[in-house]
Amino acid sequence: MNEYRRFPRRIKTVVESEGDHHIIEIELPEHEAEVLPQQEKLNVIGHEIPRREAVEKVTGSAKYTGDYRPQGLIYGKLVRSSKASALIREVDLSEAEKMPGVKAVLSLSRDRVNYVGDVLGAVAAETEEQAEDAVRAVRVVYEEERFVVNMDRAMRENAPKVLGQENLGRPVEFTRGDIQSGFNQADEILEGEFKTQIEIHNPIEPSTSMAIWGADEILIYDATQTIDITQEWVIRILKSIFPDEDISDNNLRLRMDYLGGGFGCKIGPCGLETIAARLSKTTNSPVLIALSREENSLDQGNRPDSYQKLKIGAKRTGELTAIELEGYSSVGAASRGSDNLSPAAREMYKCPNVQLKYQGVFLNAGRSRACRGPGHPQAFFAFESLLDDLAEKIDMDPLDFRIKNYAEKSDGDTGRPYSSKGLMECYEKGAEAIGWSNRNQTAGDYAGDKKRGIGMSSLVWTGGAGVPGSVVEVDLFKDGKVNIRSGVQEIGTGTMTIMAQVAAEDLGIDIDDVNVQIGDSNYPPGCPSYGSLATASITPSVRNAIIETLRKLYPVVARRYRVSEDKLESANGVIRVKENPSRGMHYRDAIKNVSESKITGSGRRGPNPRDYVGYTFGAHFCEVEIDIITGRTKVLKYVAAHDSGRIINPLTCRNQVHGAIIQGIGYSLTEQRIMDNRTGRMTNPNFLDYRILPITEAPEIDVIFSSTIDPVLNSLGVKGIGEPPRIGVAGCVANAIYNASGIRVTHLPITPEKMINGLKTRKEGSS
Amino acid sequence: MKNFALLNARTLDEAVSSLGTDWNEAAVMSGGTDLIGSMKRYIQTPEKVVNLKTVSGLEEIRSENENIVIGAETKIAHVASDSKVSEHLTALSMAAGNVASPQIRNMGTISGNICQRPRCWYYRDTEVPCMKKGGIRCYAVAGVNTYHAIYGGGPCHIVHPSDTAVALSAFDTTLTIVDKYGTKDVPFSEFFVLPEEDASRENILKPFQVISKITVKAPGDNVKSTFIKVQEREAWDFAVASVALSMKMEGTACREASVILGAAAPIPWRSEAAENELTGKNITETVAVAAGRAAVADSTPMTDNKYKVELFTNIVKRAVTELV
Repeated sequence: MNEYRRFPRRIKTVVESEGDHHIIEIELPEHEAEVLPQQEKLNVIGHEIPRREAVEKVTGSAKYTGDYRPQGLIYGKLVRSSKASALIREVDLSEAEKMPGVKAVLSLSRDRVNYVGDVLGAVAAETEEQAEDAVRAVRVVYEEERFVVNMDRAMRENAPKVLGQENLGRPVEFTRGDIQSGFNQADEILEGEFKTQIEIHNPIEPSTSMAIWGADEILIYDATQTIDITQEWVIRILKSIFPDEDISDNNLRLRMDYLGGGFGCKIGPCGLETIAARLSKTTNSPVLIALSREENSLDQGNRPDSYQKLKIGAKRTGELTAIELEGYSSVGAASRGSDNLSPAAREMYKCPNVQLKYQGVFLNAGRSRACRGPGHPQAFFAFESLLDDLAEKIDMDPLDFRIKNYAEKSDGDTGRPYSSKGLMECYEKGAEAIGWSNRNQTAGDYAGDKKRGIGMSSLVWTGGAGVPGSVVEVDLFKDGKVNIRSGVQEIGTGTMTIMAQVAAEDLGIDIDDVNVQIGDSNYPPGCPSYGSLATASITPSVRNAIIETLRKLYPVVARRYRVSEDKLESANGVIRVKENPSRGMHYRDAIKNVSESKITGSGRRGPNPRDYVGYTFGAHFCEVEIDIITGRTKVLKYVAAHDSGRIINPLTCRNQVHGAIIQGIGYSLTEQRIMDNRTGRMTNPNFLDYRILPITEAPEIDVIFSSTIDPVLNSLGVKGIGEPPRIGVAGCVANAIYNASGIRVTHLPITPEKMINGLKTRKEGSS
Repeated sequence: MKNFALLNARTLDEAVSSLGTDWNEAAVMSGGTDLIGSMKRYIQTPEKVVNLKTVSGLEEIRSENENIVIGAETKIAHVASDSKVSEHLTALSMAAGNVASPQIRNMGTISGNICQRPRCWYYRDTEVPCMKKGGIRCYAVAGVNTYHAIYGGGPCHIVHPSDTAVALSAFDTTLTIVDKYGTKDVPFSEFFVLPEEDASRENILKPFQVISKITVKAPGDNVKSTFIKVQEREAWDFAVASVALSMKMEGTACREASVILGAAAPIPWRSEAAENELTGKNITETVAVAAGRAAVADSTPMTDNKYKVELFTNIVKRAVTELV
């Protein structure tokens, strides 16, 4: 049992994960670090420090999960369904077993498959190519059934029932105030129907696991966003398969040095871990399973599509009076709820009357999963589009309209206060940076074949406050160097670097003297890399761990200054007398007086404050150019203004915003999963036909951070950034396209096809 | 990928004598950017791959009398950057410069680009037994046909994927085809075949033949050409619609015109109707619009690709306007 998993002093607290809220019990920290000063310039925190693994990564020496090639490694490949819905009459592995190089075959004993790519079994062979050949030699006898792979068809009455029940999942409903009286108060009411597409996460590194089932330890290298959660699940699954084996967190270890992106599709087990482990057990060899791009597209999750019917009412003076939303998202062949389509309607603006209902729709296709800001980009695309149309209808500047409905408290100004909200500054600075006043006063009123326009979107990420529970261990060495250690992941955001920055700040040392050890389930439990919560979760733990570790040197300092230990405090690595701060010793000097070679301590993060809601905000602006001959949209300039509290490292933080904007433009203009109704197959499970944006189309991106430092959430005043910059992009781009061309596209992605059709309709309408 | 034998041919003779009479016997590889991907997906499963890159003397661009001769193994990047090509065959230079990505232009060759297989996603899916793979059905008809043909389709509805083939069709181009029996010159317009003739292939090449060179007659100084490609993203994409236009001008009057539509049909598609709108006319905005309309007048779009009709109208007009 990992000792940190014992919780002696427990408290119940609410945590947010990927937009959902749960109550958990946590252990309180012994001592909490002092809140960092708001105004003072700090020594390391807030500085632009290149990520520590940068050279390793750009020179290719950084090891990702698939880069480990231990002695005797063999390769696993999965046997997958080529049918969208079928009963399995037989999986004949006998031919595969006889193929050259094959070491093991495995049947998962499935009696039916629910989508193309569904896993039936696996083989392991000496080379990847032999494994692939063996998979092709597996004979599967299907008894095909009717299937449905697109949401519009799945909602029809006579549609095949994907999970043997109605294709509509249980709805989520929310009501605030009285919707009817809200619409009665409105001077103008607009309704719109919006559709968004299915997005594949497409991290550059597809899902990968490598297992070594040894005598003393089951070691699994795994590409995961959640080392601890994945470990727990893998143990649970393996124990159910091998009830007689002793499998626990004492002997099942998960490791990962670097993750090549995740965006949500690597939360929890990817399914490869236990298959690799079983093949390794059978063959007595290390087994690597690395998915192809196609497999990753079919079977590792996606952002669900959405169909949203939205209705908004407002007074002529700009106050929102009512918002009504009916939404659907297809969740694949999994009993899973819809993405949360509520945040724009429910949270973003002051509005007393809101009624929402949204539900999942089942399909014979790979399941949806949390994808960078789940629900939010879909919701904001629809809402911000209709909001702009409404602004036009009441003849109000879209920015003024948004400011008019600025909410100071959560739940549309009806709930608890926000811990901080720097959105007003984002509106002001963002509008100035894009040149808001230069936009077309009349949509489409721009001469020539290449029309330019400017648009905007607000955004809120209903999360980002971080979660309690993560533990950090600190070693202080005699030469002043330190190790900090926790089972968190380096997903690519610079987690190691900011942990080192915080440690260097609080210890008053050079950042190069801090060694960061992460990515191992044998380390104290960290936090997941999802929900934009890692920074706000792990950095307070680093600070508390340093406090606890320095306290172990208090006896030395107390003796030296002849005071009792309770008279001491620590700041920037100096342990000093509270009443007389000039009397103090840096830990480097104090540690010389102890006999141990190092001092080790640990600390954990406390709960979030009960009386506040910790969300992150932003305002996006962009300028686009539309070629009305070719229908192509190019985003020329993008301004992303964000309130994410204190920014620990502006360099890595901007980097995340850049990535999100480019990914978000791809979502707005080019990316979409396409399913064929007749074959039930995805037509574009590759990077040619599934178009992520090429770097040549990355616009000039101006990132602005608000000066807000959160005063209550945690001792650093930080909030998350990973997901927020994805949320506003599609609405912002769609609004800029409208401003440029006068064409309102309500269905993502906004391809040349849709623009050409829109331009044609507009031309015919005006002539 | 199925195992195969690799032959690095040193001479054309060695190459053609290693080829067979069946497509599964041997495949010809130039840049390999299409073939290797296709083999990895088991779309093509040859026993042998004959590598032409190792044949010397096939990579060159030279002037010969009135002609510009482009060796079959000339890299697309080379075609795009060659000054003779950009001066005399502007549309070809532009088309070559628009192919895929720098990496693919550096690997891919001009003959490979012309002979690449279609990108139809039903053809590219091993599990879909479409007509081009010997099946009885074109899955695009009742399927997702956003990127399929509006001309010349049926029974198979692919569009030809090559940008350079569209540009070369706008000039007086001849291909030299070699086999073990000898050498023959074929007019470029006779090279491609429609699915109604042979749905399994896109051109007349036999399994035992290779292209050795491409000869383009350099047009006079009064001939101008251009190429426009619409793609969903700016780089690494095939055309949604493209047009190559060349016009022989006398002042503002057009004496001769070539209008070739790309991604419109299973072959580079010459629009005689559009050419007729231009030939003998003073080129004005009205004429450009008329040529655009004529280019699509008798097209037969499918369920999802009607937007292409508007797109071709637009880009033909733009091409004409830009040239004068």
